[in-house]
Amino acid sequence: MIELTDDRTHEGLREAKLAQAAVAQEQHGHVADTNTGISNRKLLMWVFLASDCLFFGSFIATYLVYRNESLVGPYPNEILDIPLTSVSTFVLLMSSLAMVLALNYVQKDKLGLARFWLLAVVVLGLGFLGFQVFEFMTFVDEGLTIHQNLFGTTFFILTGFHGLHVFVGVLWLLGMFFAHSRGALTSRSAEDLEMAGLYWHFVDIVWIVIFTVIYLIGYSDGEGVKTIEHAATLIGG
Amino acid sequence: MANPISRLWSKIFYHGGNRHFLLPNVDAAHPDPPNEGPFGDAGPVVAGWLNGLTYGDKVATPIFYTIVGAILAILTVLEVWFFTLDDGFGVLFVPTMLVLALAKFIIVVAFFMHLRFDKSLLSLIFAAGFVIAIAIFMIFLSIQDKVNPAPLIAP
Amino acid sequence: MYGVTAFLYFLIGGVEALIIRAQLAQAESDLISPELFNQLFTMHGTTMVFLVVMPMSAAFFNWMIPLMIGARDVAFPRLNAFSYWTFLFGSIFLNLSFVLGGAPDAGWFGYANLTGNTYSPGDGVTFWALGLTTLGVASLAASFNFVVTILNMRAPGMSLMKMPVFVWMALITSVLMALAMPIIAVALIQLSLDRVWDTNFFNPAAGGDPVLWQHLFWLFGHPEVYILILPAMGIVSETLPVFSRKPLFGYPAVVFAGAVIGFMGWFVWSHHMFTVGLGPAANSAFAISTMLIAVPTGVKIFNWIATTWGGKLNLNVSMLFSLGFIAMFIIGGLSGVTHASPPTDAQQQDTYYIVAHFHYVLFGGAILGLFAGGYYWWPKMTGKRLGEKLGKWHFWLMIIGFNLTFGPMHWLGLNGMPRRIATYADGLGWEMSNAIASAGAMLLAFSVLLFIINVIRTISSTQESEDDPWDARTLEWSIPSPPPAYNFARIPQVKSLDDFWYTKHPELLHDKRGEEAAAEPDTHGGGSIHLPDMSYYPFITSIGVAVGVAGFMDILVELPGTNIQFPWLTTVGIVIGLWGLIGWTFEPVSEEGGH
Repeated sequence: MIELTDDRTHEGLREAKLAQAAVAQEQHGHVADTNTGISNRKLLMWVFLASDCLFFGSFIATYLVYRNESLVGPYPNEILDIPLTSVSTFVLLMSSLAMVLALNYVQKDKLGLARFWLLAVVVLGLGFLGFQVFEFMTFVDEGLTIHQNLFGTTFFILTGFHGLHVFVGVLWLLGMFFAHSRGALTSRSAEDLEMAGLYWHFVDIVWIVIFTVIYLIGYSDGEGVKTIEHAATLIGG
Repeated sequence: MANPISRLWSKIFYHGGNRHFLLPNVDAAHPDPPNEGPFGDAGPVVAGWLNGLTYGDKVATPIFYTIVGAILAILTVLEVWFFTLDDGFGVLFVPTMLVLALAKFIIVVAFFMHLRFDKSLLSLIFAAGFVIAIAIFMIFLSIQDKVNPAPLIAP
Repeated sequence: MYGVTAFLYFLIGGVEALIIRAQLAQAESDLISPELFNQLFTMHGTTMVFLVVMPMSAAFFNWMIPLMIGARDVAFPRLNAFSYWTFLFGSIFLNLSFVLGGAPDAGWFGYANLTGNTYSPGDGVTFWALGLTTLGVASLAASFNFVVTILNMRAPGMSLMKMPVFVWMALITSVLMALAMPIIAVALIQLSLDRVWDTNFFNPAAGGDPVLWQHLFWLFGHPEVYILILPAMGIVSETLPVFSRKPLFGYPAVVFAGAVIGFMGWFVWSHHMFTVGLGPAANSAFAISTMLIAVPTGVKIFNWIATTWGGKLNLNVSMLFSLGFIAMFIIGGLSGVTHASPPTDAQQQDTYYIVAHFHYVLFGGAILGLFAGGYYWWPKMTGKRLGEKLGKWHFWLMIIGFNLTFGPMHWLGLNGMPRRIATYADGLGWEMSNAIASAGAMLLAFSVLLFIINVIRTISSTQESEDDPWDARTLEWSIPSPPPAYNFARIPQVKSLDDFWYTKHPELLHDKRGEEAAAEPDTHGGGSIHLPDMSYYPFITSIGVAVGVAGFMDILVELPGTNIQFPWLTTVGIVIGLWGLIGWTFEPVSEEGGH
């Protein structure tokens, strides 16, 4: 460490900034000491989420390109189980609610409730993963693997990466739960929890898109059209 | 400008040779009426109501978040119900699904992820990533040829 | 560290190119086998793009951004370290392929399904895919760091429109990297899964579409070329004003043009696919968007020329490189505009004309720009100036060699010589141009040798340079050279663009601001500078990432003596990575630090 004078701002400017920060603090919570007023870590998380949009977008686009292109079955209309997936979607949505409640209680310094809701997020997240694993195993039993056809490949890899993101999120939140359960949750850990929350909500909104596009809209996907006669049979059948 | 061409230009395109469009003189006793939108002041009223509902001191309580969560749950139920309708929507099925999904997306992003209350730079960053993703993938999907095209002539 | 590593790869990539040129110097030469030739041009392209230009730009970002915005360090120093180590390990992994069974040989953009298991058996392409994925992670981490640093850590008073142009270009480049790298990550993951796990992404037998790869790759690839060139444009926007003793002409226009290039660069990718058969509608749309994107580039070029116009030019080496950049980039840009039209592109695609185009913009553009930055900022980084005389020899030999090498490729291409051919028949009329090109390449290599000698001489010399040898304009020159570990003893209060210049020459300020600036002394406050301690967790996490990704190559390995198949290396990688991450998270950190 080096001891040196550190001058950041003019006196007057400093007073004004402090006053502004105090007002903003009352209204919104933290105002960080940066150019944008947003803490470094929060900004980092949002830039990461913007980039993750592109990541999932590419996989979803790949899925969409290959809709109705599988040459052999099983096809989505034969194998997707919408009731099951609706339940798992609901579970994930509620985990998002639990997340935001946990964060809220931390910010209000109600630590016991916060820890309860944080644990709820973890449990609900694991529940979602459980549903996913069950679904994957069922599909494999029914003959849909990543090797089988285009639907299998794109579906498993897309939802697999989503599940991986959920899993990483669960580990992160579990780690936060244990790390902060001893001492008091400080304002700094509220910011950490906010970051974890942002990640968790992002995983949820990606699932919203996947559920709608792959399950609800994609449910009617079937065989690709191969010849004129084939098209005739599909329309008639 | 002394230039005759620019003088001609001003004469043709500007009132009175000034660079402003001249408005009639208004005295303080008869000021201009307030601007009205096509729906009266329904716009500002609704916007004010929405703002009050979603912004301010009363928000960010657990009750508020639970209500938002309930709305999300209702939207999910709606989605699944529409899905189960037997061709009840026909060609409107996909747009309905997409609208519902978009609504859920925006609600989670705005409230759960706190973008409504945060500085707009964060909204800009997220929107940049999201909009670019949507734009390029829409373009990509639209120029994509069907992989296995049906032949035009029967074999 | 970035700079040294990138320069080493520049030498490696250069050697690969020299061998290629040696092979092509004569018709029907059999200096090297076609298989080796394929590996060489693949590795040359991959090395130059991913292991030279991008890391060298990252090196300049690392050094110069904090200094130019008046910050003590980047926003996330450990993330910075992580991205360097991941880059190093990824690049070593990629180059290990030469000794571990053959380098990738399917071209630097690895079109599917040439890169599938059927047509590229063996490990080469898998090395390529996994190595690039690791490098992508490194670039992503670096880009996040720079975006946050530039947005959040500027000195008080430095609004976005008072930043140096180099910092603006760094911001745009970092945003492009953050948004484009995930796309190629997806494409490479899909390719790796196809090769290792037999998935069907690009498998025509299952209905897969090779054009999907092209779309995904070029969706990344086009923003990537802007990532490659914008930093060099930023560098040149810094050196030209300093060495013309004039402010940059039209600062807002240059910044805005850069932003527009960054944005529009997303909508032109299919101009790499004009000959794929997308149809007239798609081709026309992309032709128009490609031609439009030449406009902001032209704006920048005109602004640079106007900057030098009427200035008192100091034609030292850095300035020569900057001017060379402008000239060569114009030539490359012009040939690029000819590709923008699908009919002409149909003739030019996959010929040496394209090779000429991209070498003019990438070598004549990015590399010359990076050399300009090297000569300009060498005294800042080391406290010594690189030798001028040797530098001028370097410049002139380089530019002559460069034009001798790539100039003839224009007419070679138009005469029909395809790219990526290991040899060509006698009697086609291509021999002379190829021979000239190869001779030019030798000259080019010699000029690089001169640069190396210059560097060695400078390092071993004792002659020091002053803190501000060029009488420069931006903040980094206001502190000692080389900078102390804490960069700025006192965080500067920025009042205008080119603040340092006006602090030095207050008589040049025409408005009241000048009197204020001159009259205000720096106030003194209390406090101390707290520097974060060094951490080895980023290094560990990096190893974890590299090992984990490398393990994917042969993911299921049999436990010896049993029938159990287990993803050994990947698991080891994950464990190491987790250890690194957990240590990183719980390490005590200073108030100003982050991840």
